[in-house]
Amino acid sequence: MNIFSKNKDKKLIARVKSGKDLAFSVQNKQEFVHKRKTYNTLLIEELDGMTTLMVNNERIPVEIVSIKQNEYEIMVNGVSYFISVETPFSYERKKMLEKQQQKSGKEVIKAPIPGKVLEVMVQKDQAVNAGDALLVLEAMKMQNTICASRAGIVKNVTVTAGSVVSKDDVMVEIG
Amino acid sequence: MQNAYAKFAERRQKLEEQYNDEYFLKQHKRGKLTALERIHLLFDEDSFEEMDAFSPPANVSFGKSTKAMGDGVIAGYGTVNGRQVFAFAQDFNVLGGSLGTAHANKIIKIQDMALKTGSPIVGLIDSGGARIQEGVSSLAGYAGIFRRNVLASGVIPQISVIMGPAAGGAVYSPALTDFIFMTADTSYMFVTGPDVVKQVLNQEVTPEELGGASVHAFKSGVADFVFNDDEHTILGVKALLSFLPDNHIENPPTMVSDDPVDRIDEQLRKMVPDDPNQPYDVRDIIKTVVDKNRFLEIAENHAANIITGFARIGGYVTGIIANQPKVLAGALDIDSSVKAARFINFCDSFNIPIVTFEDVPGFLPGTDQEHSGIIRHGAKLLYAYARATVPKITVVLRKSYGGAYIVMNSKNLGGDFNFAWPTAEIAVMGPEGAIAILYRKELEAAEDPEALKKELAAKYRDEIANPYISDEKGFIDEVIDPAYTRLKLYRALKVLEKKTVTLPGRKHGNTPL
Amino acid sequence: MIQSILIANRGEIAIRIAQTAKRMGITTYAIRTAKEPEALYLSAADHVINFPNTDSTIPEFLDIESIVAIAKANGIEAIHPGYGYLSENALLADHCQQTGVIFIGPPANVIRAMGDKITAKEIAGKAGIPMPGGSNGAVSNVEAATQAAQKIGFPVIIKASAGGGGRGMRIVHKAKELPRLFNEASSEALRAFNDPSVFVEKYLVSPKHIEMQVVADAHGNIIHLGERECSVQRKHQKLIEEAPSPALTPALRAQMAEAAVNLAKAVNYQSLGTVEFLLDKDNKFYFMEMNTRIQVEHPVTEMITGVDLVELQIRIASGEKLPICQADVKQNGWAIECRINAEDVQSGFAPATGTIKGIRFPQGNHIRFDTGIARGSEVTPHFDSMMAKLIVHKASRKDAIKATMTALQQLHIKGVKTTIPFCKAVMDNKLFKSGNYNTSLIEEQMTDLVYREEDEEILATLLAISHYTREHEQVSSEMGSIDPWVLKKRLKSL
Repeated sequence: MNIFSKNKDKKLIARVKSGKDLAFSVQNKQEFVHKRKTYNTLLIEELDGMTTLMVNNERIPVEIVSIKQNEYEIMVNGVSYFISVETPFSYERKKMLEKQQQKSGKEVIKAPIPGKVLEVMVQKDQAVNAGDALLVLEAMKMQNTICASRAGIVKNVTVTAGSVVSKDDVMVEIG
Repeated sequence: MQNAYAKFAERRQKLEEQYNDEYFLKQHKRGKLTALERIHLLFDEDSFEEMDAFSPPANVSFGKSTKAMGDGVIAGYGTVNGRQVFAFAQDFNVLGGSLGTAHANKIIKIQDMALKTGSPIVGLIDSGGARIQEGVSSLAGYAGIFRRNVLASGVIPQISVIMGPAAGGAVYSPALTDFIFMTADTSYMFVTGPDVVKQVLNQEVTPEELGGASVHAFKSGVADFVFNDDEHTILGVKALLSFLPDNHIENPPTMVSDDPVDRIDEQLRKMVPDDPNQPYDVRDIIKTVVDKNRFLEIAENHAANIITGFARIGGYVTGIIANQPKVLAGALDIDSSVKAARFINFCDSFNIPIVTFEDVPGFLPGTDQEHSGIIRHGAKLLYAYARATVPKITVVLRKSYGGAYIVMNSKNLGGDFNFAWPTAEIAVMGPEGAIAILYRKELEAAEDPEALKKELAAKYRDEIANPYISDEKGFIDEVIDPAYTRLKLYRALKVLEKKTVTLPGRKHGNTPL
Repeated sequence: MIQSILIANRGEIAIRIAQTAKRMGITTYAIRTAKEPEALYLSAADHVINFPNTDSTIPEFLDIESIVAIAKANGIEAIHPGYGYLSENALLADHCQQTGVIFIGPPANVIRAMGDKITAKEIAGKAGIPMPGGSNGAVSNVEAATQAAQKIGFPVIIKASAGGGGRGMRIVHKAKELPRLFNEASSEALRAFNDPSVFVEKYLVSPKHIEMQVVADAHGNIIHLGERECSVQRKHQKLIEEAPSPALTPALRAQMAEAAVNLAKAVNYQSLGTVEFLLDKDNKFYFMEMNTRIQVEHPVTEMITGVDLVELQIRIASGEKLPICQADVKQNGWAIECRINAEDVQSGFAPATGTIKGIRFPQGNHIRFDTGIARGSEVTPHFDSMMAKLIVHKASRKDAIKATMTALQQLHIKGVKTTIPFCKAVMDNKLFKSGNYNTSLIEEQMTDLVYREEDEEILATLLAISHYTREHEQVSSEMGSIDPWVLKKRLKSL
């Protein structure tokens, strides 16, 4: 019942955003078992700048795009996977918290790319529907209209027309 | 004889029974680990020695009582990655982790032992606060803990980890320690809770909104670190400990690095944009310079216009401070001054050299800042830099103007090594401001003031706002090729390894507060 | 014959032009800008000229005066504008003519006529080319636009008169969206082309985009090099092109080619040009616009015809006669081009930036890889997101698709997100494979815009898990030793 009772067989669970949850048992820092199959892994930084993940002697070019604590963005063949690595306990905890948050979640609109805000169409406390235009962001000479992906109340607007934003800067929060 | 062991075994047995399935389940349902599990996660396997495991709660006539052993706290010592550490973990399952006399005495005992042995102490906090039924005794208990927090300050590293509620006077023990960790979603800290806020101000507020991890990480700056769950929080504590010495006499722990100190990185030459007004993320520069890109950032979301954190350079533990041009153009304000000052004080207390990456346009102007006392708070940063006797190295990346130049560990403030990149602009003020003052009449008379401004700004940059005048006057020791920053810093740290400074004797300085 | 060329462009097209010019024995000059002083294209030219420091806010490759001045100052005979930038700017052609520099492209009056979409439509209409309905001429305000839209019925498309590349273009499905979209289109057009004027046209729902390559010399010879299909588009940005088009029968091809040649004749066309058509469900085609430059997707035509289009441009600009006649032009096999853009497909094709940390590309006789990037290149927000083009040529469409997929699987770029997984998804798409696809493919017909290789998810998780495990390994550190000198002083200062 406590986290040590199963601890002899060390388990980690990878949660893939909008994908599966995959459980691995950790044999050592290179060897992992998933569904009775053993994966021997080795990460190699190649001379040509590429990163190779060797899995059971097969070489796959990969890229770790970002790491934030136990949350990874990983690219394989150019496809991004957002993965959080959880222990059995933190896995359960996350599921529990997600259930609680579904009732009172909020959405954060971040800048998808560095650019300049040309126009902000919403104000704090304004009600928006999914698909409503929130602001216009100019990046790479294109004007991109950023829309709400869900209905809600605008909780916060952190940019104004003329603001220069970096990638992932929070621009609008919808609650 | 037989009997003596039987009694011994019986007591042990009872203690083990206390940690039954129900004990674990109760806390797990809250999304939290139990005190016992947290302690075991922190310490190396089989290294933890518990003290006073059997202390019962004080007998009280009022309210509910319990026979629980340990009085709601597990206290003891063990090794963390091989190094001796003291710790206590409040047990929310026992009387809500509330602090009674026995509980307080257990904490005080290990505080005293940590101080005597010169070892770090970690408090894992999950407590409803003072135990009401024990009255003033529990308040006295807090007082005893606070006094020891202060006595130990600057002697041994003290770390507080908030993993549940910390309310009322109880929050001041963490506040007196060096670092505060919080677990996202399941911890909160406040002096007066939502109920009191409702009664007094008639304001509805949830515990999370009042003092949740994100409030303290972003707004108040109370939390230095926030992690997603109990396990990662404790891993974070261990990561921080790996940078800290045991006490103020020792040096921070060294670690053999396979990242070569003479690694030249030409990317650095491109990291400061040509346009002096274009923002960039100074973290990229820090990560490129330090060992293996590893930088443990402190309070990353609070006062984000200054970056503080620990890294190693050639194995040497280093406290890194950097202006962040990405936020408020890197200008100094009240929050960032206080954040950096406190960090410097910690590094200075524990023999950790300070490396400053500077790109600061000045202090943030405005009535808000002036009225809130930027003079007082800015002085904290100045005081901290000037008082620190650990090795102090500055690298001017780009802007270094006016009062902010002085504050950010300038040569005459006591910088041991002051380097500048060729992109540095060191002057009393930026070109635009300087020209407006120096050429006011000419600009008024000019036919095309904008063109004249541009021309003068270019001239100013060329003649004044560059690193070479400072270099010639000795305020900069060397203008360096950015690609060689790592090697230069390593050599500076190495030569300063034996730096000692004796300050004039005194009881203590009068730090601006 | 032209002896020297200033390439007034960057990226892969600058390299592409330099390659042909070099083969023809022409000296090439590239322009270095402060925004990317170490870009790959600079190494492709014989000489590199630094763009002069100016206070101008005009982007370098749009600065007509400076570019022509560079050509004059260095005694360069001709300017090749590539695509985008000044390639369809009549003022550059004018300026070249006035200063005695050869502009590699059609005469200024032709660019002007075709560049103004309203005039172009007029001329095409007179030449008997089928047209979609719309506002006759520019609309200056929301009211006029609404009126025109109501006359032809929704949906309508708002287009910038001076436009191209999807900029200043908006589709309007409902009347109430019109004011917002009109303003967006107009302000985008102003920013992109310095001309806010837009017009309204009937929007054909889900057409095919088919274009005809024409080429004409100064001696009255006009031929066509067949078609390209560019229906794989997202928001009017082409992503994948092929030649020939699976939709054309020989009869339809002949009709469209005739229309294209007729238009070229009607404007006295000289140089390389492309006539773009929309083809509806009933195989009726409509004139869209004429591009008076080399197209991004020109390699697919080159692959199947064996003709070097840049060479033709240069020869025509030199005053030579076309070296081939219509009978020489044969379509041989099938070619597919995939644009490798720095875009995050999973975040709605948002432009991506970063440093190229590594690149591996496929090789083979049937593969052509036109790239503007190499390891170490910076992908910045200053420029268009297209980094490279993968072109595959095989005997049949089926083989070409298969070979393209294999080539994409061998193409790896590290450091920036790319459209590679998207291109794979198209190669794997049933509708695309059938050939019976149209411009709605991406937005309406594809369920997943990225192709996932087998086991990709588990490989990604393995990487995360193994990194995590190593990261959380027990670290052993040792207490730092203290030098006696330091220790003594430290204790004394207590």
